[in-house]
Amino acid sequence: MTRAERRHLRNGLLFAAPWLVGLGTFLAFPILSSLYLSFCDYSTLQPPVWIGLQNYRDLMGDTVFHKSLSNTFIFAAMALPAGLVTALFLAILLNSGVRGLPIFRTLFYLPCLVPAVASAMLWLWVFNGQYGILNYALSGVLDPLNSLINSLLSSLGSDARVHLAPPTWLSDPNWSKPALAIMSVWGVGGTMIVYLAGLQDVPAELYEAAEIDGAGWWRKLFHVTIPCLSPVIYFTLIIGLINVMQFFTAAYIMGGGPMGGTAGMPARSTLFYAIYLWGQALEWLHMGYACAMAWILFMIVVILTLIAHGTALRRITYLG
Amino acid sequence: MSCLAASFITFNRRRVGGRLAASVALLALALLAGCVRSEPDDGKLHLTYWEKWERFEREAMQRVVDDFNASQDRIVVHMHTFGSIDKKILGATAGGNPPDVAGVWMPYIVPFAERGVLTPLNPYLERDGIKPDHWIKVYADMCTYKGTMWAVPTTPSATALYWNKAMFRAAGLDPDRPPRTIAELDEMAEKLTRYDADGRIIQMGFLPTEPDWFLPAYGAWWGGEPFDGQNITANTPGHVEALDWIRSYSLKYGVDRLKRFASGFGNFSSPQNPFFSGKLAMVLHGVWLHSYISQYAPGMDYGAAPWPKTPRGPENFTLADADVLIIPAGLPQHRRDAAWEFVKFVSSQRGMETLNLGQRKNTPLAEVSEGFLENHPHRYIRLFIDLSKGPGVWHYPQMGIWSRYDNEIRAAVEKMRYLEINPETGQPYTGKEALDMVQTRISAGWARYQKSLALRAARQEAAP
Repeated sequence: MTRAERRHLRNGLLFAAPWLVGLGTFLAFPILSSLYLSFCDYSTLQPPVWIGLQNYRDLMGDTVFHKSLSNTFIFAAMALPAGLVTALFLAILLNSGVRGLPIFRTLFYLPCLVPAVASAMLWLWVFNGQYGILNYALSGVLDPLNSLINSLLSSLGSDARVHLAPPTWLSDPNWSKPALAIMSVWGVGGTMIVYLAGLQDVPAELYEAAEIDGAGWWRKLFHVTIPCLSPVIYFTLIIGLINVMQFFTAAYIMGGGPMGGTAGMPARSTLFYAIYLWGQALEWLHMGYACAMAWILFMIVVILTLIAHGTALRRITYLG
Repeated sequence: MSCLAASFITFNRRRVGGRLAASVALLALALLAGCVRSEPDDGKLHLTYWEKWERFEREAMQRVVDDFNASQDRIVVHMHTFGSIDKKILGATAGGNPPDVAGVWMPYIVPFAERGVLTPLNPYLERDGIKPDHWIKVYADMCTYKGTMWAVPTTPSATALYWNKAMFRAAGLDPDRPPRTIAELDEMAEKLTRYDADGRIIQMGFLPTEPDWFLPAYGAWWGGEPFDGQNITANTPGHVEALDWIRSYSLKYGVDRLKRFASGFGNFSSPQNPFFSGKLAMVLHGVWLHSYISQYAPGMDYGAAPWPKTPRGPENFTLADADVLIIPAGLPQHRRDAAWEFVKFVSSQRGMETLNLGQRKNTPLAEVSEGFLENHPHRYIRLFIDLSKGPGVWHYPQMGIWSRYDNEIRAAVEKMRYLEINPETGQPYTGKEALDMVQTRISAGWARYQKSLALRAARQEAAP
């Protein structure tokens, strides 16, 4: 290495130093220490003591851990596709040359700007079983439907009566996860903007060619738009997957009782992985156990990403 | 660091380096500033005191702090209030930079004390001649673990049954006669429950799960003890009967109807609180409820009485609890000594009565001044003081894993509330089945906790 090269290397490293130091101190060190701590008995209040694989073994037999994992998967299976499809749908609508595009784009993006805690408090009232606006709207549909069915039944001479009522959402263990998934769709504005940007990159000549070949709206959607958008969809899928597996704030507030917390109410139906992890780490001082949970979550996300990568790669079309 | 600085000095020869070096120095300074306690140079010792209270509760404590600061010229206490104070104290303690004094909740005493991060108060108490009988027994007991006092109570609480007299009148019940036994409670609750034309509940007499604050105390109310000092006793008869009683409400009124009715309840601290809005005629609540009634349902005609007697449980059962002050360990001796001076001041009759009158709670002290009773806005304050001194008083067990135990009991109660199906029997869980699960989980958790403490003890013995 010549003198000039050495100087360049030194200067380069010096310029990069703030980032290297920052990355090392605030990212690499905590990540590596959490790996070490996952093999330790550690309460945060005293130095850790190495216990080998004990935390991982205990996790395998922890029924609440299993429950939190299955809650998270069920929620992800609802929230992730619903969010991606809604975002895509909105983006396509906005890309169809609608007038006042900037206004709609802002309106759909606006919920992303509402703080998570404020939006959770708001949705608590939307989902209120008695006074919520959602059930008010649903009753408006279900009540006429009930009377229609009942009058049909009585005209058929039957004494049977139906009384379809809207669910009580967050007060019902069967409906609490769908409720949270509905709520999460409210925040798809960010994904929608990404799709919108992607859509505007689709070459117009492809649409023209398709039109000449006699393709209608649907064929253009499935044979031009979606293939051209596939790298963007893939990106949002991976990011969405990572986010949904760490779902926390809304569940902490909406399922945690009056003060928020790790109860996962009702009946532990909203006890998600990140909530249980938080409880173990900060409520019950099992930081080692929580670190083991974090690493298992990391492995799960890696595996899911690899699966998504493997299945999606063949379907992705990169333009240019 | 010096190596880095040296590099930047050489770099400074080139003009471009000057700004970079300055910004890095500034950043380093800003980072270091966070680690250093900055104190005014006035010859006084400035103590940091972290609290969790807001609004009028904070103001009451601020008066005590101001009184203390004015009472002497050596120490100045600065109170800072936060939400989620427990998490912040945990972080600060783990980072070796705790506040000098902190206000936490009772369940934090044992896990913190057992991990060696609290200052034992006995030497100070002995030096200043303060005996445990300075406090009402239950409040001193809950701060004492294995013979050592680790905290002092600040604002205590006791609980009672509150009932809405107007609703009693409307249902044809004697408004001055609250239920005295569980059988009476259930019977009155039925009379006070009303339905609309579609059979939906629009008003209830009583609902065991509203509020859900004291669910982990129900077992003791029904004559059980969750912990015998050695072993977990979650599935003993008192606990089982308490859970079966909660379940009986789901069976009697119907899970769906109760869900729909309860889904309309608002927050505790709001006019939509079911007791304030006249949806529930009776609730079990703490001494603090009066403040909220006067704010959200002023003019409500209510009464307060002991919790009704259960078949196995004691007469005049009351759950006592307290917010407490702790002095973290690990700070220099002179700071801890000064912190004790403040804690002692707060614990004096003057300090305690200022604080608890301001927060509209009872006092934890054995001595109560007539002025306190006369000026107290809660018309039933004597009841709460009597209950806390009575034979039926109970507090949560002192064990390092209580917050987790509490969480598991709540999960068992949810099984009763929703009549969750036990996959093994195909029937809804019974109280015993749900508590057997709690017993298994918490026994394992307890064994693990003991093992964790033993690991530390072994290490300390091994150390020279």
